[in-house]
Parts: sequence; C-alpha cells; structure tokens
Amino acid sequence: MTTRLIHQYSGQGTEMTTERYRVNPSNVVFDTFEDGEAAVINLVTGTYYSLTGSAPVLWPRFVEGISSDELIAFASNIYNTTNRSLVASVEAFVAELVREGLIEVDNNPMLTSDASAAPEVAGATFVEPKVERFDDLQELILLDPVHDVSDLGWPHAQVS
Amino acid sequence: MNQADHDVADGDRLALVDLLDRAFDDAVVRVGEVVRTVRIANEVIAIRFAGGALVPALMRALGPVVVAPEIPPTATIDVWDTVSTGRPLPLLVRDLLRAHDAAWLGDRGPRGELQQYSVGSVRAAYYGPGLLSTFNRSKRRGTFWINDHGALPWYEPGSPFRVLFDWILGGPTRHLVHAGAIHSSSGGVLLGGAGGSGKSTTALACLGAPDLRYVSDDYVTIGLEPEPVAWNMYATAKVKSPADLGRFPRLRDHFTALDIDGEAEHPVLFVHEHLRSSLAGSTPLRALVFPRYLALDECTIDAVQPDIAFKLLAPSTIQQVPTDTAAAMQFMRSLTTRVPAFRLGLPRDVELIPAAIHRIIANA
Repeated sequence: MTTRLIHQYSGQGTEMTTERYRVNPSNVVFDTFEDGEAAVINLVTGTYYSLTGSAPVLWPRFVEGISSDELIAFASNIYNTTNRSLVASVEAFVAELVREGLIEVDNNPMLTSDASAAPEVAGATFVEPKVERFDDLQELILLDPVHDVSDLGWPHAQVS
Repeated sequence: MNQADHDVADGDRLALVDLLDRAFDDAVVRVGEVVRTVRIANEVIAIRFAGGALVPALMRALGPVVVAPEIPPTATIDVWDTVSTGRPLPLLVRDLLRAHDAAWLGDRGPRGELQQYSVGSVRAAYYGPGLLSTFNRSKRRGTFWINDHGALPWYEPGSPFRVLFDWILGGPTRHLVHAGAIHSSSGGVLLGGAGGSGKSTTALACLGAPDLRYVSDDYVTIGLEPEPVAWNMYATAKVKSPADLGRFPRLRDHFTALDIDGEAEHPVLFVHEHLRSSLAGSTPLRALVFPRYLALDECTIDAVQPDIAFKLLAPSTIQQVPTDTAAAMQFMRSLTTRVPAFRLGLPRDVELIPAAIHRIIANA
C-alpha cells in the first residue's frame, strides 16, 4: 500500500490562532482502537487517515471544538512539558488537519468550556502527532478493472 | 450542528417514522399489499409492498433468500411509492425532503444520512435520486419510499434495500460489508477493496469454475461468531459496461441490460436464474482477499498485515452505507485480526484467477 506521511515535526511552526476548530461531522468519521491508533475517514473522498503518536490523544478535542492555543495547553498539561518541539508540532498538526479538510473553523463555539483542561498523566512522554494518509485507496478507484472499463475493454494503466 | 440540535427528543424523531407508517398503511388500503419474506444471516425480514409496482424490480435479486411467508419475521420493511399508490408523502415529510432537495443542508451527510433523525431509536437517510429509508430500531420496522416507481435508479434492483439491511442486520458481531465472496468445499474468501479494485472481476472469473461457488460480488453480511462467515444477500453480478463482457464469454449471454440511464447500459447477471448450482448461500471465511489489477502474466499472492487489511476493507463500506460508523469500524477491525489477508495481483487472463483463489484457501 502506498502511503504518505503528511505531517511530522518540521521545526517550522504555523501562526497561532484563537479560532476554534471542530471535526467536520458531516464529512468525517473516526474511531480509536485499543492499540492506540485513531482511524479517520473522509467520507467525501474516501481517504483513510491513520493518527498515531500523540495524535489519537489530541484528536478527540476537536469533537467539542478547540483552538491551537488551547490544544497546546492541553498537550502541555497531559505531557507536563512546554518545550518548543511540542508547540511547533501541535501547531503543524492542526494546520495539517485543516488542509486535509478533517477539521473546520467552529462558527458556533461553546465558549464556556475549558478545552485546554486536562489531567496530568504520570509518566506520559510526548510523542509528536502523526497523520498518515493512505492514498492507495484512491489509486484503486482510479484504476478500475470492471466498473470504469473503457471502450478498450480490459483496463490499461494510465501513463503518468 | 450544535449541542441543542443534537438534543432533539427521541419522540420528535419517532414522529417522522410514525407519519410514514401511517402513510404506508393508507397506501395499502388504497392498492392492497404484497408481502415477500427473506432470510439473510438468520434474520427473517418481511418486505411489505403497497401494491405491486415495485415488487419485480426490488425482489428479483433477492430470489434465493426468499422464504415461506409463514415464518415469523424479526423485522419488516414497508415499501411504497406515491405515483402507483396515489398516496402522497405526509406533508411534514414532504416539506422536509423539499428542503433537502433545495439545498444540501448541514445535517445531511454525504451518505444521505439525516443526522438529526439518526440518533437513538431512529435512522433516516435521503439519498440517490430521491430514495428515503427510515428505520425504527425499537419496532424493527423500516420504510423505503420513492416518489415514482418508474424512477428507481438502475443500481437499486441489483442490490436493493442495502441501507435498510445494514440497519437491520448490523450489530457487534454481524455487519453488512462492501465486499464479494467466493465459496469452496474447503471454505471461502472475502473479496474486499474499494469500488473498481477487482472484486467483480475476481468473482465473475470464479463463477462456474470447478469447486468454486459464487456468493456475491459487492455486498455480503458477515458474522463473526462462532466463526467468521459471509452470507449471500443479492444473487447478482455486475459489470459497468457491455464492452467488459468480452472478458467473460461463458457468461455474456446471461447478462441483462438492467436499464439505460441515457448513456450507458449497466449489465447485470441474476445468477440464480441461469447458474443456480453455482450459487452458495454462505461460506466460512478462510481468507480476506484484496484483488488488484496488475496486468501480469500470472496471479501474484502476497500476505497483507491485519492493519493494512482493515484500511483496505473499511473505507468503502463506511463510505457507501450510512452505517453506525464506530460499530462498523470495530467490527471490521475484529474481522481483519481474525482472518488472514492476502493481496491478489490480477493477471490479464482472468481464467487464471480461480486457481489462485484455491491456492489462497489451501494456504490460509
């Protein structure tokens, strides 16, 4: 399967924002498994995203809505650290989710909630959030032996 | 959608299905009732039609799973259309659908699910060219409605009621899955992957091959207990275009051009009508197979890790049916950890595929 790792800490942070973001509930479904992976599927594109590292811990905060600043505070509380690596990688994580259409600006935020509040987890070590997109599924759709057969009959791989 | 929207009382949602129940009963008074009972994965479903207009199109693919009407049903589906029965939709439902026709409202998911009506006891979806499916989980009573029986989309007769079947059949250890299946005397394989990955090609190549029987090419119900098994739902095999039939000369004459939607025919083979002995009602799953066309001289078989199998299997099922997503993901996670998975590289010569399926079953 062809995969593309679309976010790892690059050392280049993005501009911080107080805008809150939420999961786009109409187009995105997700679940978290016992092995710690969070699976996210964009229903419009059929693209599958695997969230690993600290991403499965951070991702659920977007269900209620959270800003980048609040997410950084949340992660700092969880992992008991405020180092630059955490800040930069969480910012990049948020930016990547926005780019992929998995979260959107929350136009009706619940301002009373303290989204950054989090219990400290003893011994938890921050691991940068990773978003891995599986493009192979899209390739399968594009190369369609039966359903999109052309006048040539049996399909021919397109020359890129 | 904010929290207040989510807090709509269950009774408000039940009002929708109650209105539809009464409208169906009224339609039956007008034109009579036709009942067909099917058994899928040990679930007995009474399909009650108001009048007979939709019976031929929607029951043809279900022929092999029809059972005697005396068997008590565990769920019902009420089927009706307005044009043939003369019964319009209830006003509130009509206006709800008109609003959704006018604009893609925020609470309507890409699978057609009406999210405010898909919580608690009720499931509702408005999808395709005006198909409405609702389900009362408490009463296990569903509704399938379309305005005009003559406007049924071409694909619906090939896999009818799949939205409602998913709601009826879905559970922790059983689920509708977008996959084909092939049976042999040594067990069977599930054919998974996104639309167009090669499921139909593989299933059709195995249709009529020695010691292989056809279960499905695109939708099956899978149970996990006591062992993973795939049940037949629809006795159909589908290809996109008549041009594709050239690769299956043995089967070409059995296909029916189900409909013409203005540009392309959609050939469908009703397997039980021509090759009944080649059809299997279920199969114990020995392997998950993910076909992929590679234009090879021979088939290739490679083991696939469970997490990759899950990624190949889950998205298309979840994308195609407004299912309970979390339950579907957990179900397919369990399935892919219990059954070994393989990638099947498809060759140019489809006649090579049955032997590869036998090899996979033998080595699973």
